[in-house]
Amino acid sequence: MIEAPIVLDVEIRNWVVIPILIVLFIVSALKLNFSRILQLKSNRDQDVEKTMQMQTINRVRRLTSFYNRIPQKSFFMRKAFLCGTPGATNPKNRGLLSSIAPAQEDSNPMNMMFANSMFTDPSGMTDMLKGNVVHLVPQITMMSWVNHFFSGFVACKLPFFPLTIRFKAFLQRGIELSSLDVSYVSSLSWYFLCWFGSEGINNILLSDNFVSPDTQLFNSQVEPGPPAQQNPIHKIYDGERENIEMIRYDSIMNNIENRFLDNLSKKTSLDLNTLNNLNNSNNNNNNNNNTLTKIQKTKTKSSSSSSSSTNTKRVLYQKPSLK
Amino acid sequence: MAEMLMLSSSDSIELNKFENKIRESRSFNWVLVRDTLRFLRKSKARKSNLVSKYGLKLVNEYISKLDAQESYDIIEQVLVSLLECGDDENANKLFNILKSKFGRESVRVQRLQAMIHESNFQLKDALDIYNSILEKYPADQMSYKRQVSIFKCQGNLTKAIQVLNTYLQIFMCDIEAWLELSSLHITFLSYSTALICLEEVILNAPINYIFYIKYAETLYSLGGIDNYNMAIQYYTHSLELNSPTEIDVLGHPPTYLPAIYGIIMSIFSLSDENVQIKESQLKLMEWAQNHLILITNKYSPDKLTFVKHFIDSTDIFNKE
Amino acid sequence: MSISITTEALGKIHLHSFKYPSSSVNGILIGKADKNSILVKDCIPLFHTQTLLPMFEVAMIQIEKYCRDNNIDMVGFYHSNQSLSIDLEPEPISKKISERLYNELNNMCSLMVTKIDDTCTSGLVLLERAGSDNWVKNRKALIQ
Repeated sequence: MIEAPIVLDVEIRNWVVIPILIVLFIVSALKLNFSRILQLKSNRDQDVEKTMQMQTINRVRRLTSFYNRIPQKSFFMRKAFLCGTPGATNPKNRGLLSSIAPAQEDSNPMNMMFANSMFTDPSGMTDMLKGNVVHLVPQITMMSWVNHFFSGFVACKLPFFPLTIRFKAFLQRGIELSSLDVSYVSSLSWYFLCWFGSEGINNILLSDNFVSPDTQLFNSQVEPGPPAQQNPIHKIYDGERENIEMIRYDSIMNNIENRFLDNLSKKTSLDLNTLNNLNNSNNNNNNNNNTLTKIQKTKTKSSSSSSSSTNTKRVLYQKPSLK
Repeated sequence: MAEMLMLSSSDSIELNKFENKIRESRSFNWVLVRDTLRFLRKSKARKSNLVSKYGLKLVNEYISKLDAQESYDIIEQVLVSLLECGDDENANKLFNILKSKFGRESVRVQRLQAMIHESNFQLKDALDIYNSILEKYPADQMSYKRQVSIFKCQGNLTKAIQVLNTYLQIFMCDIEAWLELSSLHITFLSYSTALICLEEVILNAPINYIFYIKYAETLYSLGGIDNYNMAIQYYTHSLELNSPTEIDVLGHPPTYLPAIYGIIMSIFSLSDENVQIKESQLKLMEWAQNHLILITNKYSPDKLTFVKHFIDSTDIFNKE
Repeated sequence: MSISITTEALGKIHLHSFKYPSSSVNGILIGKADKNSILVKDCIPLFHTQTLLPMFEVAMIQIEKYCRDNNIDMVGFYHSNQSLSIDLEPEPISKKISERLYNELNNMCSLMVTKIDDTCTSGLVLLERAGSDNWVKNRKALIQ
């Protein structure tokens, strides 16, 4: 069956196809500038405070888990820094964890509202909102504009090889004709095609200051922001302060020498053979004879119990006798 | 130096594998190079020569094969290593690519611009850029760190310490920064301040034996009976973490030699102070001496005379 | 006082500092010294991280033995700052070590690595003692 080609009115090209293109371009340029203005105004100070709080919590948690690895003096110094000296009235001496007063937080009803809701970060909320406004609103307006004025007719014909029937829904939105060739495009579909394809063109035309959506990632900081916190920060601080105050200091360095030698003697029972082999092979070496006598000398001086041993290494890895 | 400390042993083994593969392959294997660069970005290891040599070729000839987003990361990475190697010409070329793509406003582009200034010794311009970035984004870690290195380069160490202090007030869990601050304090010989920084490092990386050795060495440098005692404890703990029982897994000399030397020196210094040395410490000393000779014998027998001389001159058993 | 240095030692010093461009490096010079001349025959590179006492003392004890065995003397100390700016003072630890060596050796020199250019072809500058714990650069002293 041969289809007679449909002749499209020139007016359609002049008043539909080209205007959609131009309007799309103008809108994306506007969108760009608009989003930049909004971005400039977004408040970054909040970020610093936020990171600082997160890092403080992190640091305090690390202190509560690994306090036994630092000397007692240093631990108490940190405790004083974080929890303050007991009974201090001067707010300066109250410590970092008491620095955020709950009253100050509550005085701001906006903060309260956000603190109690899922989103504690109001700046994140507004950022999201702004992004939506900038991207979504023009999108919807444009679509309804195109749909309202230019629906119901074929806008242009694509000069390509015939596409399969599957593309019909995509290319002929708003036209329900089953027999129409797929290469004819409705106005709404033309709008979508232009919209998807416009990024490259914008890139060239607005190249100096155009930021395409996927490259905004590059624009932003490398480090993702701290995750949203469920509880208000001063409550976490209070909890952590209690944790620190509950710690009864005990160092893992106590009696570490004996513990180390003990463990060594347990663990090396396996390695002992290799060590002995090494020793034997080195016995031919002149140098080593010296070594052995030397070791033996020190041995007899330090502990008299092991005088009979011929293999000094073996003596070494015996469990030290504790008296 | 800090970066090398942070590299875990499994990472460094993998890195060596990558490096050998690249050097051995006869033709240019762009997939391999890409994977290597990816690994380097992840592990944050610094291999300027490798990256600048092979990365430049990758960027120049195979850029179209790369994923769009990743390709810009790679360009940035290669650009930084080019600057480190002093290849300003190529670095500028790459910079122009990024600038035309992302524009002047991008923070990362600005940072790179500042780094190019730095490599041309226009430190003032670089500082200005970092300052302006920090005004806009006060939480930009990179800019802080670059500022510190600029001040260090100018020899203005007090200023560097100042900047680091402000930085650490915000990012108090940054090990590298604490480490850097400690080394700056060590340069000024203010060991007790350095100790505080190192404690913070230990709290953040409690299973890294190197930091315990560092802490002990600083304690020793500070001197005094209590500090010697504590140094012994920290050396011993680092031995616990980096156990001498796992002999010769990698085939190179063990990494705990400083700890053994440190134990001997600290106990020797203790005995110099006329302190009664505990029995456990005597045992430790004995073990350390024997182990030291054992290791020397195994890995460098020709140095045995020196080591023996060292043990003789620090011997506390014969002195009595 | 005239100081001469062999190519081997000079090369070792510079290669050491080139290998660790971003850290301060130091080491001990060995050779022959008499009253008004010093010949640096070789050097023993020590640190390319921060110099802390324990390992330095270990190194000194061993170097002492090495010198005695090979019939050679410790004649000085070389070091390079973290950054190579021309007018930076030596780091405090370097001054301290120089001072200590000065007190223990009868004749010694303290060298500092700088930029190699026309005014300073060897890339080394001599430090002179100016009071205790204070060492300043002497640009005029020639090192052959």
